[in-house]
Amino acid sequence: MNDEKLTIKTDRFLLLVTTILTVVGLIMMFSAGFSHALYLKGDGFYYIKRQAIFAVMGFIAMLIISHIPYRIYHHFAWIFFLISYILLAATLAMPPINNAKRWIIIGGFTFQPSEMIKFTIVLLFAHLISVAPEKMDNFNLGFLRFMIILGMVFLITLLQPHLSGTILIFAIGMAVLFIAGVKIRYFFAGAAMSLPILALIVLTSDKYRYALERILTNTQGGDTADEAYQVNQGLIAIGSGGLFGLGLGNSRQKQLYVPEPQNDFVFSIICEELGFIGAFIIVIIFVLFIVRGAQISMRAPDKFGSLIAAGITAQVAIQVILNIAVVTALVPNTGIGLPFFSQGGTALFLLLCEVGVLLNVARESERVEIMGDEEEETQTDPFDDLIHRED
Amino acid sequence: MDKKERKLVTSTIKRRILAITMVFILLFAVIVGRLAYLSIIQHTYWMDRASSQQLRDSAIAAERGIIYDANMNILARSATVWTVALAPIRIEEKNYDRIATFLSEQLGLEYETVLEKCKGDSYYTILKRKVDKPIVDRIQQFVEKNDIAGIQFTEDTKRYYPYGNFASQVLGFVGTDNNGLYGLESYYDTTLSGTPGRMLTAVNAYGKDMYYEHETLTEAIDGYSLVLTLDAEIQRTLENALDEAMVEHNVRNYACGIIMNVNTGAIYAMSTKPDFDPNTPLEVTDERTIEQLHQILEDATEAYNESSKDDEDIKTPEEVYLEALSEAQHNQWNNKAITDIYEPGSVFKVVTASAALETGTCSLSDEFYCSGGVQVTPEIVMHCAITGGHGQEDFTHSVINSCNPAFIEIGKRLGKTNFYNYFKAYGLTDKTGVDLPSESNSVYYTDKTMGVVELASCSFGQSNAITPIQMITAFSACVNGGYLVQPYIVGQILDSTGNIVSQHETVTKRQVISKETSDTMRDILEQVVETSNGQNAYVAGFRLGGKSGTAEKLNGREGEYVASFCAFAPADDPQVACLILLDGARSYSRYGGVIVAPIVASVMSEVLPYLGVEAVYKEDEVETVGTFVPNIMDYSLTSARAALQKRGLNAEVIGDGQRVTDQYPVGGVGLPKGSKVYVYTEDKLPKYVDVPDVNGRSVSYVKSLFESIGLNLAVDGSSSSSAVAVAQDYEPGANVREGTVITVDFVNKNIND
Repeated sequence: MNDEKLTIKTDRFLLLVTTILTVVGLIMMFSAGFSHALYLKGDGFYYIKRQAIFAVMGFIAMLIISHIPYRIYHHFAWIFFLISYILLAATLAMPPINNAKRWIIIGGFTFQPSEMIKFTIVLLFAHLISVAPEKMDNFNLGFLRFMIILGMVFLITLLQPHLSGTILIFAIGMAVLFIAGVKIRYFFAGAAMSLPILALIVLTSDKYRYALERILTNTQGGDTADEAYQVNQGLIAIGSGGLFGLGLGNSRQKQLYVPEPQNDFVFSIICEELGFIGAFIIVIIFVLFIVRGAQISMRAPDKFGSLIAAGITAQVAIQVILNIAVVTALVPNTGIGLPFFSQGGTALFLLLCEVGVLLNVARESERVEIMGDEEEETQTDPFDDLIHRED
Repeated sequence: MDKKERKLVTSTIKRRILAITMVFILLFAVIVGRLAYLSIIQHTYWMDRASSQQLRDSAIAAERGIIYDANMNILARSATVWTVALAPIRIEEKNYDRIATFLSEQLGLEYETVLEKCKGDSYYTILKRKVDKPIVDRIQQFVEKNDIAGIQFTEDTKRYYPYGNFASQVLGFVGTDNNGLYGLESYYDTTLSGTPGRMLTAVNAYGKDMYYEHETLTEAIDGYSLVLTLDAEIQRTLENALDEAMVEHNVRNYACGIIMNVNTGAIYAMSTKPDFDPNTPLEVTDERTIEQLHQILEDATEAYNESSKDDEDIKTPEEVYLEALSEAQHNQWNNKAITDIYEPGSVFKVVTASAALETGTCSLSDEFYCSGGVQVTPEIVMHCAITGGHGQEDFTHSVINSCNPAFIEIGKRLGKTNFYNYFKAYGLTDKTGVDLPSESNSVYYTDKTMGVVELASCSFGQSNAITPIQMITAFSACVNGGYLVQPYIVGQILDSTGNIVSQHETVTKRQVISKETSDTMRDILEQVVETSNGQNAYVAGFRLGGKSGTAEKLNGREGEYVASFCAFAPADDPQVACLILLDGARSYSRYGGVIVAPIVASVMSEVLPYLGVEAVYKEDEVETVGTFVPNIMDYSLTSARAALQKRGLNAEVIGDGQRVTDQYPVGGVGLPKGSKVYVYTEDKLPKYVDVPDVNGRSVSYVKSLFESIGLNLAVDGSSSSSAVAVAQDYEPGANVREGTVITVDFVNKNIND
């Protein structure tokens, strides 16, 4: 048996897709940001150096985490959430960058706790759902409880303010609840209940009222003239790339036309340099990642693993879809990065950690398949006690 | 519930994962569709948007060709200058003062103006055009030293005309964009300007070139150069003569002259005075015109002040002045040799006479009788310039006398049809086709519109109005064997490396009259100059033929005449023709034969030797032929006498010595043969004499007067017995040394044409 245990391998497919995304992401981020870095930072390698360090660290972390049995996160779900929540709250005490307090700033190092909370929400929800599945039939415990948790998070993200982060966290939370099997009518009831709250927020805050007006009137624009300009320049990049693109490194729009081309708008530069074909291939790789993530979550040995895997996959899917939708002017410019591609070291590091968790879920299901249920039954499941207690 | 079952992944979860995955894939499909729409269907649109912001299309100026005269002297050339501009959006606020101070000083602009431009938020605003290199160099140094952003230089060219007021109307000038506006610059604009190149440069959002190559370059093709038939030496001779004439004859309107090769139509010189400096074409240079403009401004100001202010029709003094200024500018730019029509008067008689001889309607032996007037119709009598009439005269003398009644008769015999046919054949109904812009066409009567009265007046050169270039071209045809040639001024076109691109070939339009008729006409015209009426055009040593003309301007001011003279030489082998006309002269005579003939003579006397026509003197001319005083200082008296005699000079010895200690005029001075040189053989103070006023005196009178008081006379102009002095180079009363050569201009005033 021990020999066979050794044959349990990491999900090679997911690992391959992740590696491709990370490497291509680094290359394209480097290409897109080169001119920007050269002209504004005086060093063409300014962004790639930092990003590459985080990528390597993230890869190592991913491989380590892929060997940590995910079930232990039952113990840490609340702690992780609380830590990330405190960090999130701490941003309000930090100095603002571009009129928003979204970052923890320590020395020259900046970090967005909202990146972290996206994952800890998934963990917490998966934990809460899987330890007491029967509570899910109750509206208060099966839906309202989660909404209150989300509400607490939004209290801070809206104060930061961080609209795109709020939307993302909300979408991820909803995705997890949906997958967990929450009754569809609860969503409608929830929506009916949250509408007055939403209306209150919108009406009392100039900023959000303005944002709403913008969403209703113009989908092409951004928050400000600057954001509209960014979208417009992004469209020029995408459109001028054509079918085959101008070739790697040959983007013209990155020559200070598209603001921050290495960041949220990196995909527009990809389209310009690699053309529709290149962009399509990258989208396909993302789809492969997501399909694989969905497979892993369906084959997960238990509900907890399944929900974690589904949550992580959904997070990546939602971010990719929203990012490209923004870049192609399908939705207003809200400021969501493209996973694996956009500049941002901590985001990449955390993402790779999450893929590590995903890999572990895959590994665990593999193990169950090889060793069978019996094997699993005989194993000490550290959470059986917990489940009994909650019963 | 079963513990294990609760833990397991339920089918609901699987279904929902499947469902949400399908939603994601659907959304991905939408996104891919959107991408395809943008980058494939809308590709062209976005590509254009991209190009318009990323590409800077800069024109590379082609260098404008040079204009050379016949001897490759540069008459017009281009030099590189710069346009200094600001990109205010890139100028830092702390630099405003520094930039405004420095640039206002360097470019000669107001500090406030520059400061205002610095403060804008545009990408490009021009400060000054046509800035020369040294200034641009200083500004560049300033920019580098202080690391200032936002000052830009664009290369441009500036046209230089090294000779200034010279052949102005022929050369024309260029506008600020170096596009030819007048003259050759305009007519040959495409040839001179070449083809500008293009450079497509990819630039980043800050307007700087991208750091790697994104360039497409189309080389500029430099403009071709023109080699004119115009000769700067001949042009200068003509212009000097016209300038002098403007002053001497108090010319109100303009003086104009053309010198042309009679056989090829090549124009050696062409000028209109007053003119302008093509370097600063807007500046009015003629003093009389400037005065007039001042007067107009004053009058307008006065009229404006007196008028009621609410009268909307009244023009402000500024408007009036600007209108007048604009008119004056256009007036000085017009090349009147080709743009203005005039009634040629008696010069035209060459056309009538040659047509009559060619058709055989008149012969040399025909006799005419002039009683001083002709009854053309029962109501109209046309008079001769001579009140008593010329009496009996043959064909040749009717030309020599320029007798209008005789020409009315010649015209009558010729008939309207013949007259009009020859008028047409001489090219007087068409533009000559000279390669200069804005050539005018004549205004004339056809055989259909012409009546008896018109035929009569047309016969002696009135009623039909033609351009000077048409006149000299017809005149040339009359004397060159009968061939009507197309006048031209550009002989060769060269490319930027000096290769000949095109070479002008003589364009002969037709033979108008036979060689025999032409020979006869030459003979008659030579007689005109040799006897009476053309004698003021006489040039010793050269055989000239010519005809004078004077016509009252019908649409001009009262008593304004156009006086002209057209001559050709040599009479036996014509090579060059010269037409000069003075419009609105106020002088001692209104007749072309009196006031213009001497100008033509003086021009021809310089042009003919220059063109290599050898002077052949007749015996009676020898005396007036110039020689040089030999240097005889320290000569023995005998050898001094011999040296002087050799040059045809007489010696007046003062003193008893045997060796020459002083001489006057000194060695090297030019003077007519037969003049007296004062030779001193001992130190003795030379005598001084007062120059007498000889105005109105005859040649023989002045000659004997000068001899008696110890002065030498150099006769300029006509030396015939009826010529009188009109000018002298030393003012009356001037105290000059004994032996001084006084040049006196003689003109035969008793000429009517």
